[in-house]
Amino acid sequence: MEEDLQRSNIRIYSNVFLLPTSILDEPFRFQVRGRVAIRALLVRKFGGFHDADIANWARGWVNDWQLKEMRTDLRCVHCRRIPEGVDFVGNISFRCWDRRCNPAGSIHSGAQSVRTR
Amino acid sequence: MSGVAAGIDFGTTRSALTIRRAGSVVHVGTGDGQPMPSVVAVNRLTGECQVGEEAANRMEQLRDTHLIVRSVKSHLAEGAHWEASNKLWTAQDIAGCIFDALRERAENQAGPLPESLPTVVTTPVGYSAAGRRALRAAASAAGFSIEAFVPESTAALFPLQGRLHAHRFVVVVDWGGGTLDVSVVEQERRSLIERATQCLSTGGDAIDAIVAEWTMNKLGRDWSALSAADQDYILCVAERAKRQLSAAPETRLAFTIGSEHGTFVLTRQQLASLVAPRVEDAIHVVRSAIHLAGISPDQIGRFVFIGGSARLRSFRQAVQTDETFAGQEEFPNEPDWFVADGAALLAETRGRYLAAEGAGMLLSDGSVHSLIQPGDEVENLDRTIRVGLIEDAATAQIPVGRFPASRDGESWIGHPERFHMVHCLTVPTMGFSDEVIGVRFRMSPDLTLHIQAGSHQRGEQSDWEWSFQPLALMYKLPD
Repeated sequence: MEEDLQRSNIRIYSNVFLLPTSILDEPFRFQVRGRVAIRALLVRKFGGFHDADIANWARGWVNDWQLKEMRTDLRCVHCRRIPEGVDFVGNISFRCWDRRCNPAGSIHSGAQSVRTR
Repeated sequence: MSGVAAGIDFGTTRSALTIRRAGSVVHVGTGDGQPMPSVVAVNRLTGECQVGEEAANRMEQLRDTHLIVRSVKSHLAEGAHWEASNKLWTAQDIAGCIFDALRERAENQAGPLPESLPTVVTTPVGYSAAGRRALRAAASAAGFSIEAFVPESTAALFPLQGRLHAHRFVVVVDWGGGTLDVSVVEQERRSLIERATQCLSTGGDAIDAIVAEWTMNKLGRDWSALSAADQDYILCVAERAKRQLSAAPETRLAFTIGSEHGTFVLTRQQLASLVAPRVEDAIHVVRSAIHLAGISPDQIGRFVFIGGSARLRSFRQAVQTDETFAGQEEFPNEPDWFVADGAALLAETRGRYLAAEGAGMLLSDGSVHSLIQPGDEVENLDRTIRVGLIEDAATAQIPVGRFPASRDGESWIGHPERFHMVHCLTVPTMGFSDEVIGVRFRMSPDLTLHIQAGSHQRGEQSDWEWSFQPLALMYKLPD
Protein backbone atom coordinates (compact mmCIF):
# COMPACT_ATOMS: atom_id res chain seq x y z
CA MET A 1 0.00 0.00 0.00
CA GLU A 2 2.77 2.36 0.99
CA GLU A 3 4.62 1.47 -2.20
CA ASP A 4 1.51 2.31 -4.23
CA LEU A 5 1.31 5.71 -2.60
CA GLN A 6 4.93 6.40 -3.45
CA ARG A 7 4.66 5.33 -7.07
CA SER A 8 5.38 8.05 -9.56
CA ASN A 9 2.59 9.09 -11.91
CA ILE A 10 4.90 10.21 -14.68
CA ARG A 11 6.69 8.02 -17.18
CA ILE A 12 10.00 8.58 -18.89
CA TYR A 13 9.72 8.64 -22.66
CA SER A 14 12.46 8.60 -25.19
CA ASN A 15 11.85 9.84 -28.73
CA VAL A 16 14.93 8.33 -30.37
CA PHE A 17 15.69 4.90 -31.77
CA LEU A 18 18.79 3.22 -33.15
CA LEU A 19 19.23 4.41 -36.71
CA PRO A 20 20.17 1.86 -39.32
CA THR A 21 21.22 3.27 -42.69
CA SER A 22 17.88 4.92 -43.48
CA ILE A 23 14.73 5.93 -41.63
CA LEU A 24 12.83 3.68 -44.05
CA ASP A 25 14.54 0.55 -42.71
CA GLU A 26 13.07 -1.81 -40.15
CA PRO A 27 12.84 -1.69 -37.21
CA PHE A 28 13.26 2.10 -37.18
CA ARG A 29 10.23 2.82 -39.36
CA PHE A 30 7.89 0.90 -37.02
CA GLN A 31 8.95 3.25 -34.23
CA VAL A 32 7.94 6.41 -36.04
CA ARG A 33 5.00 8.08 -34.33
CA GLY A 34 2.79 11.09 -34.79
CA ARG A 35 0.81 11.94 -37.88
CA VAL A 36 3.31 14.45 -39.31
CA ALA A 37 6.26 12.06 -38.99
CA ILE A 38 4.39 9.04 -40.31
CA ARG A 39 3.11 11.06 -43.26
CA ALA A 40 6.65 12.25 -44.01
CA LEU A 41 7.81 8.65 -43.89
CA LEU A 42 5.09 7.54 -46.32
CA VAL A 43 5.83 10.41 -48.68
CA ARG A 44 9.47 9.38 -48.68
CA LYS A 45 8.46 5.84 -49.61
CA PHE A 46 5.45 6.31 -51.93
CA GLY A 47 5.66 9.90 -53.07
CA GLY A 48 2.50 12.02 -53.06
CA PHE A 49 -0.82 10.43 -52.09
CA HIS A 50 -4.20 11.43 -50.83
CA ASP A 51 -4.63 10.89 -47.13
CA ALA A 52 -7.78 8.92 -47.78
CA ASP A 53 -5.79 6.31 -49.70
CA ILE A 54 -3.30 5.64 -46.95
CA ALA A 55 -4.85 2.30 -46.04
CA ASN A 56 -4.27 1.02 -49.54
CA TRP A 57 -0.80 2.40 -49.95
CA ALA A 58 0.70 1.71 -46.62
CA ARG A 59 -0.94 -1.40 -45.21
CA GLY A 60 1.79 -3.88 -44.38
CA TRP A 61 4.53 -1.32 -44.71
CA VAL A 62 3.61 0.52 -41.52
CA ASN A 63 1.80 -1.12 -38.64
CA ASP A 64 -1.86 -0.84 -37.68
CA TRP A 65 -1.14 1.60 -34.94
CA GLN A 66 0.65 3.94 -37.34
CA LEU A 67 -2.30 3.73 -39.74
CA LYS A 68 -4.60 4.68 -36.91
CA GLU A 69 -2.35 7.58 -36.03
CA MET A 70 -2.53 8.78 -39.63
CA ARG A 71 -6.31 8.80 -39.39
CA THR A 72 -6.36 10.97 -36.29
CA ASP A 73 -6.64 14.66 -37.09
CA LEU A 74 -8.42 13.89 -40.36
CA ARG A 75 -11.65 15.84 -40.78
CA CYS A 76 -14.93 14.06 -41.22
CA VAL A 77 -16.29 14.63 -44.74
CA HIS A 78 -19.78 15.30 -43.31
CA CYS A 79 -19.33 17.49 -40.26
CA ARG A 80 -15.76 18.80 -40.87
CA ARG A 81 -14.89 18.00 -37.29
CA ILE A 82 -12.05 15.72 -36.25
CA PRO A 83 -13.81 12.70 -34.86
CA GLU A 84 -10.94 10.39 -34.03
CA GLY A 85 -8.22 10.71 -31.45
CA VAL A 86 -6.73 9.28 -28.29
CA ASP A 87 -9.37 8.84 -25.61
CA PHE A 88 -9.10 8.84 -21.84
CA VAL A 89 -8.09 5.19 -21.60
CA GLY A 90 -5.36 5.46 -24.20
CA ASN A 91 -7.24 4.14 -27.23
CA ILE A 92 -7.64 5.83 -30.57
CA SER A 93 -11.37 5.83 -31.03
CA PHE A 94 -14.16 7.23 -33.11
CA ARG A 95 -15.96 9.64 -30.84
CA CYS A 96 -18.13 11.91 -32.96
CA TRP A 97 -21.62 12.58 -31.61
CA ASP A 98 -23.01 12.96 -35.13
CA ARG A 99 -24.39 9.63 -36.36
CA ARG A 100 -23.84 10.57 -40.00
CA CYS A 101 -20.10 10.71 -39.48
CA ASN A 102 -17.80 7.97 -40.59
CA PRO A 103 -14.53 7.14 -38.84
CA ALA A 104 -11.94 9.41 -40.45
CA GLY A 105 -13.94 10.30 -43.47
CA SER A 106 -13.76 7.70 -46.14
CA ILE A 107 -11.28 5.39 -44.46
CA HIS A 108 -13.00 2.24 -43.25
CA SER A 109 -10.80 0.05 -41.16
CA GLY A 110 -13.44 -1.97 -39.38
CA ALA A 111 -11.81 -1.71 -35.96
CA GLN A 112 -13.12 1.23 -34.00
CA SER A 113 -10.23 1.65 -31.65
CA VAL A 114 -6.73 0.52 -30.97
CA ARG A 115 -4.85 0.53 -27.70
CA THR A 116 -2.02 3.05 -27.32
CA ARG A 117 1.43 1.94 -26.33
CA MET B 1 63.72 3.58 -9.79
CA SER B 2 60.91 1.48 -11.24
CA GLY B 3 58.74 -0.68 -9.00
CA VAL B 4 57.80 2.19 -6.70
CA ALA B 5 54.13 2.93 -6.12
CA ALA B 6 52.21 5.18 -3.77
CA GLY B 7 48.79 5.22 -2.17
CA ILE B 8 47.37 8.44 -0.75
CA ASP B 9 44.50 8.73 1.68
CA PHE B 10 43.81 12.42 1.18
CA GLY B 11 41.62 12.86 4.20
CA THR B 12 39.45 15.72 5.38
CA THR B 13 41.16 15.74 8.76
CA ARG B 14 44.40 13.82 8.14
CA SER B 15 46.31 12.62 5.11
CA ALA B 16 48.40 9.49 4.82
CA LEU B 17 50.88 8.35 2.18
CA THR B 18 52.11 4.79 1.80
CA ILE B 19 55.08 4.06 -0.44
CA ARG B 20 55.65 0.51 -1.63
CA ARG B 21 59.04 -0.33 -3.06
CA ALA B 22 60.15 -3.89 -3.79
CA GLY B 23 57.76 -5.33 -1.24
CA SER B 24 58.73 -2.94 1.55
CA VAL B 25 56.28 -0.41 2.90
CA VAL B 26 57.00 3.10 4.16
CA HIS B 27 54.32 5.08 5.98
CA VAL B 28 54.69 8.80 5.47
CA GLY B 29 52.99 11.08 7.97
CA THR B 30 54.06 12.85 11.12
CA GLY B 31 57.29 12.25 12.99
CA ASP B 32 55.53 9.93 15.44
CA GLY B 33 54.13 7.65 12.74
CA GLN B 34 50.63 9.12 12.54
CA PRO B 35 48.92 10.41 9.36
CA MET B 36 49.61 14.10 8.76
CA PRO B 37 46.92 16.61 9.78
CA SER B 38 45.36 18.12 6.63
CA VAL B 39 45.88 21.64 7.92
CA VAL B 40 47.65 24.41 6.04
CA ALA B 41 48.64 27.76 7.57
CA VAL B 42 49.60 30.48 5.09
CA ASN B 43 51.42 33.54 6.40
CA ARG B 44 49.23 36.50 5.47
CA LEU B 45 52.26 38.70 4.75
CA THR B 46 54.89 36.43 3.24
CA GLY B 47 52.76 33.62 1.81
CA GLU B 48 54.98 31.05 3.53
CA CYS B 49 53.14 27.79 4.25
CA GLN B 50 53.19 25.54 7.25
CA VAL B 51 51.60 22.16 6.72
CA GLY B 52 50.55 19.27 8.91
CA GLU B 53 51.28 19.08 12.62
CA GLU B 54 53.31 22.33 12.46
CA ALA B 55 50.12 24.15 11.55
CA ALA B 56 47.65 21.99 13.49
CA ASN B 57 49.46 22.22 16.83
CA ARG B 58 49.94 25.99 16.63
CA MET B 59 46.57 27.01 15.26
CA GLU B 60 45.75 29.16 18.27
CA GLN B 61 49.02 31.10 18.04
CA LEU B 62 48.87 31.42 14.26
CA ARG B 63 45.26 32.46 13.87
CA ASP B 64 45.98 36.23 13.88
CA THR B 65 48.88 36.15 11.44
CA HIS B 66 48.04 33.23 9.20
CA LEU B 67 45.27 32.03 6.96
CA ILE B 68 44.42 28.62 8.35
CA VAL B 69 42.66 26.15 6.08
CA ARG B 70 41.32 22.87 7.42
CA SER B 71 39.24 20.25 5.62
CA VAL B 72 40.30 21.50 2.20
CA LYS B 73 38.97 18.30 0.61
CA SER B 74 35.43 19.46 1.34
CA HIS B 75 36.10 22.68 -0.60
CA LEU B 76 37.90 21.27 -3.66
CA ALA B 77 34.84 20.57 -5.76
CA GLU B 78 33.22 23.93 -5.14
CA GLY B 79 36.34 25.85 -6.18
CA ALA B 80 36.70 27.75 -2.90
CA HIS B 81 39.42 30.38 -2.54
CA TRP B 82 40.98 32.60 0.13
CA GLU B 83 43.10 35.72 0.10
CA ALA B 84 46.50 35.94 1.77
CA SER B 85 49.78 37.71 0.97
CA ASN B 86 48.13 39.63 -1.88
CA LYS B 87 47.35 36.37 -3.62
CA LEU B 88 44.26 34.33 -4.21
CA TRP B 89 44.72 30.82 -2.81
CA THR B 90 42.42 28.29 -4.40
CA ALA B 91 41.47 25.05 -2.70
CA GLN B 92 43.62 23.34 -5.32
CA ASP B 93 46.64 25.45 -4.23
CA ILE B 94 46.06 24.48 -0.60
CA ALA B 95 45.69 20.79 -1.55
CA GLY B 96 48.93 21.20 -3.52
CA CYS B 97 50.68 22.34 -0.31
CA ILE B 98 49.58 19.10 1.37
CA PHE B 99 50.79 16.96 -1.54
CA ASP B 100 54.11 18.90 -1.58
CA ALA B 101 54.57 18.27 2.14
CA LEU B 102 53.80 14.56 1.73
CA ARG B 103 56.26 14.31 -1.15
CA GLU B 104 59.00 16.09 0.79
CA ARG B 105 58.51 13.87 3.84
CA ALA B 106 58.42 10.77 1.63
CA GLU B 107 61.77 11.64 0.06
CA ASN B 108 63.26 12.26 3.50
CA GLN B 109 62.04 8.87 4.71
CA ALA B 110 62.26 6.67 1.63
CA GLY B 111 64.97 8.37 -0.43
CA PRO B 112 64.62 9.84 -3.93
CA LEU B 113 61.38 9.02 -5.74
CA PRO B 114 60.56 9.01 -9.45
CA GLU B 115 59.61 12.42 -10.84
CA SER B 116 56.20 11.08 -11.74
CA LEU B 117 55.28 8.58 -9.05
CA PRO B 118 52.44 6.16 -9.96
CA THR B 119 49.79 6.79 -7.32
CA VAL B 120 46.30 5.68 -6.41
CA VAL B 121 44.33 8.25 -4.44
CA THR B 122 41.27 7.43 -2.37
CA THR B 123 38.15 9.58 -2.38
CA PRO B 124 34.82 9.46 -0.59
CA VAL B 125 32.10 7.43 -2.29
CA GLY B 126 30.50 9.59 -4.95
CA TYR B 127 33.19 12.29 -4.85
CA SER B 128 32.45 14.74 -7.64
CA ALA B 129 34.24 14.84 -10.98
CA ALA B 130 35.28 18.45 -10.29
CA GLY B 131 36.85 17.36 -7.01
CA ARG B 132 38.74 14.53 -8.72
CA ARG B 133 40.04 16.87 -11.40
CA ALA B 134 41.27 19.36 -8.80
CA LEU B 135 42.91 16.55 -6.82
CA ARG B 136 44.61 15.23 -9.95
CA ALA B 137 45.98 18.68 -10.82
CA ALA B 138 47.21 19.35 -7.29
CA ALA B 139 48.84 15.92 -6.99
CA SER B 140 50.41 16.12 -10.42
CA ALA B 141 52.14 19.41 -9.57
CA ALA B 142 53.74 17.65 -6.60
CA GLY B 143 55.00 14.74 -8.73
CA PHE B 144 52.24 12.20 -8.06
CA SER B 145 50.81 10.69 -11.22
CA ILE B 146 47.29 9.55 -10.33
CA GLU B 147 46.60 6.20 -11.98
CA ALA B 148 43.19 5.71 -10.40
CA PHE B 149 40.76 6.87 -7.76
CA VAL B 150 39.31 4.34 -5.34
CA PRO B 151 36.58 4.75 -2.71
CA GLU B 152 38.17 5.02 0.73
CA SER B 153 36.03 2.34 2.30
CA THR B 154 36.83 -0.16 -0.46
CA ALA B 155 40.58 0.54 -0.40
CA ALA B 156 40.65 -0.19 3.34
CA LEU B 157 39.65 -3.79 2.67
CA PHE B 158 42.71 -4.61 0.53
CA PRO B 159 45.23 -4.88 3.39
CA LEU B 160 42.64 -6.90 5.35
CA GLN B 161 41.81 -9.29 2.54
CA GLY B 162 44.26 -11.93 3.71
CA ARG B 163 42.59 -12.13 7.11
CA LEU B 164 39.01 -11.73 5.96
CA HIS B 165 39.12 -13.72 2.73
CA ALA B 166 36.99 -16.51 4.20
CA HIS B 167 33.98 -14.19 4.42
CA ARG B 168 32.08 -13.86 1.19
CA PHE B 169 30.55 -10.51 2.12
CA VAL B 170 32.36 -7.86 4.13
CA VAL B 171 31.14 -4.37 4.96
CA VAL B 172 33.70 -1.62 5.53
CA VAL B 173 32.53 1.57 7.19
CA ASP B 174 34.94 4.50 7.11
CA TRP B 175 33.63 7.37 9.22
CA GLY B 176 36.14 10.14 8.77
CA GLY B 177 36.25 13.90 9.18
CA GLY B 178 34.04 14.81 6.24
CA THR B 179 31.98 11.79 5.26
CA LEU B 180 30.85 8.35 6.25
CA ASP B 181 31.55 5.87 3.45
CA VAL B 182 30.23 2.36 3.31
CA SER B 183 31.31 -0.40 0.92
CA VAL B 184 29.52 -3.72 0.80
CA VAL B 185 32.10 -5.94 -0.85
CA GLU B 186 31.85 -9.47 -2.15
CA GLN B 187 35.10 -11.38 -2.17
CA GLU B 188 35.77 -14.18 -4.56
CA ARG B 189 39.24 -15.46 -5.35
CA ARG B 190 41.31 -12.47 -6.46
CA SER B 191 38.39 -10.15 -6.97
CA LEU B 192 36.70 -7.63 -4.78
CA ILE B 193 33.33 -6.64 -6.08
CA GLU B 194 31.57 -3.63 -4.67
CA ARG B 195 28.00 -4.76 -4.32
CA ALA B 196 26.93 -1.39 -3.01
CA THR B 197 28.45 1.83 -1.79
CA GLN B 198 26.80 4.58 0.19
CA CYS B 199 27.93 7.93 1.50
CA LEU B 200 26.70 10.26 4.21
CA SER B 201 28.01 13.81 4.16
CA THR B 202 28.44 13.93 7.89
CA GLY B 203 31.73 13.29 9.60
CA GLY B 204 33.89 14.46 12.44
CA ASP B 205 33.71 18.07 11.24
CA ALA B 206 29.94 18.08 11.64
CA ILE B 207 30.27 16.60 15.13
CA ASP B 208 32.83 19.28 16.05
CA ALA B 209 30.38 21.92 14.82
CA ILE B 210 27.66 20.49 17.09
CA VAL B 211 29.97 20.64 20.11
CA ALA B 212 31.16 24.13 19.15
CA GLU B 213 27.62 25.47 18.83
CA TRP B 214 26.65 23.86 22.13
CA THR B 215 29.60 25.65 23.75
CA MET B 216 28.58 29.01 22.34
CA ASN B 217 24.98 28.46 23.47
CA LYS B 218 26.25 27.81 26.99
CA LEU B 219 28.17 31.06 26.79
CA GLY B 220 25.11 32.87 25.50
CA ARG B 221 26.83 33.80 22.24
CA ASP B 222 25.38 33.47 18.78
CA TRP B 223 27.52 31.02 16.80
CA SER B 224 26.67 32.59 13.46
CA ALA B 225 27.73 36.04 14.70
CA LEU B 226 31.32 34.88 15.36
CA SER B 227 34.02 35.75 12.86
CA ALA B 228 35.27 32.94 10.62
CA ALA B 229 38.60 32.89 12.49
CA ASP B 230 36.85 32.61 15.86
CA GLN B 231 34.56 29.87 14.56
CA ASP B 232 37.60 27.97 13.34
CA TYR B 233 39.29 28.39 16.69
CA ILE B 234 36.25 27.12 18.63
CA LEU B 235 35.97 24.19 16.21
CA CYS B 236 39.57 23.24 17.05
CA VAL B 237 38.79 23.41 20.77
CA ALA B 238 35.71 21.24 20.21
CA GLU B 239 37.67 18.74 18.15
CA ARG B 240 40.30 18.41 20.85
CA ALA B 241 37.63 17.89 23.52
CA LYS B 242 35.97 15.21 21.39
CA ARG B 243 39.25 13.32 21.06
CA GLN B 244 39.97 13.59 24.78
CA LEU B 245 36.58 12.06 25.56
CA SER B 246 37.56 8.80 23.87
CA ALA B 247 40.08 8.30 26.71
CA ALA B 248 38.54 10.16 29.66
CA PRO B 249 34.97 10.32 31.03
CA GLU B 250 34.97 14.13 30.95
CA THR B 251 37.01 16.98 29.58
CA ARG B 252 37.35 20.71 29.98
CA LEU B 253 36.79 23.12 27.10
CA ALA B 254 38.76 26.31 27.71
CA PHE B 255 38.86 29.16 25.21
CA THR B 256 39.30 32.88 24.76
CA ILE B 257 37.38 35.00 22.28
CA GLY B 258 38.49 38.61 22.34
CA SER B 259 38.45 39.54 26.05
CA GLU B 260 35.99 36.79 26.93
CA HIS B 261 37.21 33.59 28.56
CA GLY B 262 35.11 30.46 28.87
CA THR B 263 35.56 27.10 30.54
CA PHE B 264 33.03 24.29 30.38
CA VAL B 265 33.03 20.67 31.34
CA LEU B 266 31.78 18.27 28.71
CA THR B 267 31.03 14.70 29.76
CA ARG B 268 30.80 11.60 27.59
CA GLN B 269 27.12 11.40 28.39
CA GLN B 270 26.55 14.95 27.15
CA LEU B 271 28.53 14.30 23.97
CA ALA B 272 26.55 11.10 23.39
CA SER B 273 23.22 12.91 23.60
CA LEU B 274 24.51 15.76 21.37
CA VAL B 275 25.61 13.39 18.61
CA ALA B 276 22.85 10.78 19.00
CA PRO B 277 20.99 11.85 15.81
CA ARG B 278 24.24 11.62 13.79
CA VAL B 279 24.99 8.18 15.19
CA GLU B 280 21.48 7.07 14.25
CA ASP B 281 21.98 8.45 10.71
CA ALA B 282 25.30 6.62 10.42
CA ILE B 283 23.79 3.25 11.33
CA HIS B 284 20.87 3.90 9.00
CA VAL B 285 23.29 4.46 6.09
CA VAL B 286 25.04 1.15 6.80
CA ARG B 287 21.68 -0.66 6.80
CA SER B 288 20.68 1.09 3.62
CA ALA B 289 23.92 0.00 1.86
CA ILE B 290 23.22 -3.61 2.82
CA HIS B 291 19.68 -3.29 1.52
CA LEU B 292 20.98 -1.76 -1.71
CA ALA B 293 23.34 -4.71 -2.15
CA GLY B 294 20.31 -7.00 -2.07
CA ILE B 295 21.61 -9.16 0.73
CA SER B 296 20.51 -9.65 4.31
CA PRO B 297 22.67 -8.60 7.28
CA ASP B 298 23.10 -12.23 8.36
CA GLN B 299 24.99 -12.95 5.12
CA ILE B 300 27.67 -10.44 6.09
CA GLY B 301 30.71 -12.17 7.56
CA ARG B 302 32.34 -9.09 9.04
CA PHE B 303 31.66 -5.39 9.59
CA VAL B 304 34.89 -3.38 9.81
CA PHE B 305 34.65 0.12 11.27
CA ILE B 306 37.53 2.53 10.69
CA GLY B 307 38.06 6.31 10.67
CA GLY B 308 38.36 8.87 13.43
CA SER B 309 34.64 9.30 14.00
CA ALA B 310 34.14 5.52 14.41
CA ARG B 311 36.10 5.90 17.64
CA LEU B 312 33.19 7.78 19.22
CA ARG B 313 32.19 5.70 22.21
CA SER B 314 28.48 6.27 21.70
CA PHE B 315 28.81 5.06 18.11
CA ARG B 316 30.63 1.91 19.18
CA GLN B 317 28.02 1.19 21.82
CA ALA B 318 25.21 1.72 19.33
CA VAL B 319 26.88 -0.68 16.88
CA GLN B 320 27.54 -3.29 19.54
CA THR B 321 23.91 -3.31 20.66
CA ASP B 322 22.35 -3.11 17.19
CA GLU B 323 21.06 -6.47 15.95
CA THR B 324 22.06 -5.62 12.34
CA PHE B 325 25.67 -6.34 13.20
CA ALA B 326 25.00 -9.48 15.26
CA GLY B 327 28.39 -9.42 16.95
CA GLN B 328 30.29 -9.50 13.63
CA GLU B 329 31.58 -5.95 14.05
CA GLU B 330 35.24 -5.15 14.53
CA PHE B 331 37.03 -1.92 15.33
CA PRO B 332 40.68 -2.56 14.40
CA ASN B 333 43.23 -1.12 16.80
CA GLU B 334 45.47 0.59 14.27
CA PRO B 335 43.27 1.46 11.30
CA ASP B 336 44.98 4.76 10.42
CA TRP B 337 46.96 3.35 7.48
CA PHE B 338 44.47 0.86 6.04
CA VAL B 339 43.14 3.23 3.39
CA ALA B 340 46.56 4.43 2.17
CA ASP B 341 47.97 0.88 2.32
CA GLY B 342 45.08 -0.41 0.21
CA ALA B 343 45.57 2.36 -2.31
CA ALA B 344 49.31 1.62 -2.53
CA LEU B 345 48.60 -2.08 -3.11
CA LEU B 346 46.34 -1.10 -5.98
CA ALA B 347 48.97 1.23 -7.38
CA GLU B 348 51.56 -1.54 -7.30
CA THR B 349 49.41 -4.35 -8.65
CA ARG B 350 46.84 -2.66 -10.80
CA GLY B 351 43.52 -4.40 -10.96
CA ARG B 352 41.10 -3.98 -13.79
CA TYR B 353 38.20 -1.69 -13.23
CA LEU B 354 35.05 -3.35 -14.35
CA ALA B 355 31.53 -2.05 -14.12
CA ALA B 356 29.42 -3.90 -11.62
CA GLU B 357 26.35 -2.11 -12.95
CA GLY B 358 25.31 -1.33 -16.46
CA ALA B 359 24.68 2.01 -18.08
CA GLY B 360 22.66 2.77 -21.13
CA MET B 361 20.04 4.87 -22.80
CA LEU B 362 16.33 4.40 -23.10
CA LEU B 363 14.89 4.01 -26.59
CA SER B 364 11.48 4.93 -27.89
CA ASP B 365 10.15 1.37 -27.62
CA GLY B 366 10.92 1.33 -23.89
CA SER B 367 13.93 -0.94 -24.26
CA VAL B 368 17.32 -0.06 -22.84
CA HIS B 369 20.27 0.09 -25.21
CA SER B 370 23.17 -0.86 -23.00
CA LEU B 371 26.49 0.91 -23.44
CA ILE B 372 28.22 -0.56 -20.46
CA GLN B 373 27.31 -4.08 -19.42
CA PRO B 374 28.03 -5.34 -15.93
CA GLY B 375 31.51 -6.83 -16.18
CA ASP B 376 32.69 -4.50 -18.97
CA GLU B 377 35.97 -2.68 -18.57
CA VAL B 378 35.12 0.95 -18.15
CA GLU B 379 38.55 2.47 -18.70
CA ASN B 380 39.25 3.76 -22.21
CA LEU B 381 35.62 3.36 -23.16
CA ASP B 382 34.82 5.47 -26.23
CA ARG B 383 31.72 4.54 -28.19
CA THR B 384 29.39 6.44 -30.49
CA ILE B 385 25.81 5.36 -31.16
CA ARG B 386 23.71 6.68 -34.07
CA VAL B 387 20.09 7.34 -33.29
CA GLY B 388 17.26 9.02 -35.15
CA LEU B 389 14.26 11.04 -34.05
CA ILE B 390 11.04 9.03 -34.36
CA GLU B 391 8.59 11.96 -34.25
CA ASP B 392 8.31 15.49 -35.51
CA ALA B 393 9.74 17.32 -32.50
CA ALA B 394 12.09 20.25 -31.94
CA THR B 395 14.27 18.27 -29.56
CA ALA B 396 15.39 14.71 -29.11
CA GLN B 397 14.93 13.43 -25.57
CA ILE B 398 17.52 10.82 -24.65
CA PRO B 399 17.18 9.42 -21.12
CA VAL B 400 20.48 8.05 -19.83
CA GLY B 401 20.78 5.93 -16.72
CA ARG B 402 21.93 2.78 -15.06
CA PHE B 403 20.65 -0.70 -14.50
CA PRO B 404 21.84 -3.12 -11.87
CA ALA B 405 23.71 -6.34 -12.53
CA SER B 406 21.43 -9.36 -12.41
CA ARG B 407 22.29 -11.81 -9.68
CA ASP B 408 21.46 -15.01 -11.50
CA GLY B 409 22.94 -14.19 -14.87
CA GLU B 410 19.52 -13.33 -16.33
CA SER B 411 19.63 -10.47 -18.78
CA TRP B 412 17.75 -7.36 -17.79
CA ILE B 413 18.02 -5.80 -21.21
CA GLY B 414 14.53 -4.94 -22.33
CA HIS B 415 13.34 -4.54 -18.76
CA PRO B 416 12.85 -0.80 -18.53
CA GLU B 417 11.49 -1.13 -14.99
CA ARG B 418 15.07 -1.89 -13.93
CA PHE B 419 16.35 1.27 -15.61
CA HIS B 420 17.05 4.19 -13.27
CA MET B 421 17.22 7.40 -15.23
CA VAL B 422 20.06 9.66 -14.12
CA HIS B 423 19.77 12.37 -16.75
CA CYS B 424 17.81 13.19 -19.87
CA LEU B 425 19.87 14.71 -22.69
CA THR B 426 17.96 17.22 -24.77
CA VAL B 427 19.30 17.73 -28.27
CA PRO B 428 17.94 20.41 -30.68
CA THR B 429 16.83 18.81 -33.94
CA MET B 430 15.40 19.76 -37.32
CA GLY B 431 12.20 17.80 -36.80
CA PHE B 432 11.45 14.44 -38.37
CA SER B 433 13.91 13.92 -41.20
CA ASP B 434 16.93 11.86 -42.13
CA GLU B 435 18.85 13.65 -39.39
CA VAL B 436 21.45 11.50 -37.62
CA ILE B 437 22.02 12.14 -33.94
CA GLY B 438 25.33 10.87 -32.63
CA VAL B 439 25.58 10.00 -28.95
CA ARG B 440 29.19 9.63 -27.83
CA PHE B 441 30.10 7.97 -24.54
CA ARG B 442 33.67 8.51 -23.42
CA MET B 443 35.24 7.57 -20.10
CA SER B 444 37.89 9.96 -18.78
CA PRO B 445 40.76 8.81 -16.54
CA ASP B 446 38.86 10.38 -13.61
CA LEU B 447 36.14 7.77 -14.15
CA THR B 448 33.83 10.43 -15.42
CA LEU B 449 31.55 9.41 -18.22
CA HIS B 450 31.32 12.23 -20.75
CA ILE B 451 28.19 11.99 -22.82
CA GLN B 452 27.93 14.22 -25.84
CA ALA B 453 24.95 14.17 -28.16
CA GLY B 454 24.36 16.25 -31.22
CA SER B 455 22.76 16.34 -34.62
CA HIS B 456 25.20 15.87 -37.46
CA GLN B 457 23.25 18.40 -39.52
CA ARG B 458 22.83 21.15 -36.92
CA GLY B 459 26.24 20.98 -35.29
CA GLU B 460 24.87 21.95 -31.84
CA GLN B 461 25.99 19.61 -29.12
CA SER B 462 24.42 18.71 -25.84
CA ASP B 463 27.04 17.75 -23.29
CA TRP B 464 26.68 16.09 -19.99
CA GLU B 465 29.25 14.81 -17.56
CA TRP B 466 28.32 11.85 -15.43
CA SER B 467 30.67 11.34 -12.48
CA PHE B 468 29.73 7.70 -12.65
CA GLN B 469 28.87 7.69 -8.97
CA PRO B 470 26.10 5.17 -9.11
CA LEU B 471 28.28 2.61 -10.78
CA ALA B 472 29.99 0.33 -8.38
CA LEU B 473 33.34 -1.00 -9.51
CA MET B 474 34.90 -4.42 -9.53
CA TYR B 475 38.59 -4.85 -8.83
CA LYS B 476 40.37 -7.85 -10.24
CA LEU B 477 43.83 -8.35 -8.89
CA PRO B 478 46.22 -10.24 -11.12
CA ASP B 479 46.81 -13.84 -10.01
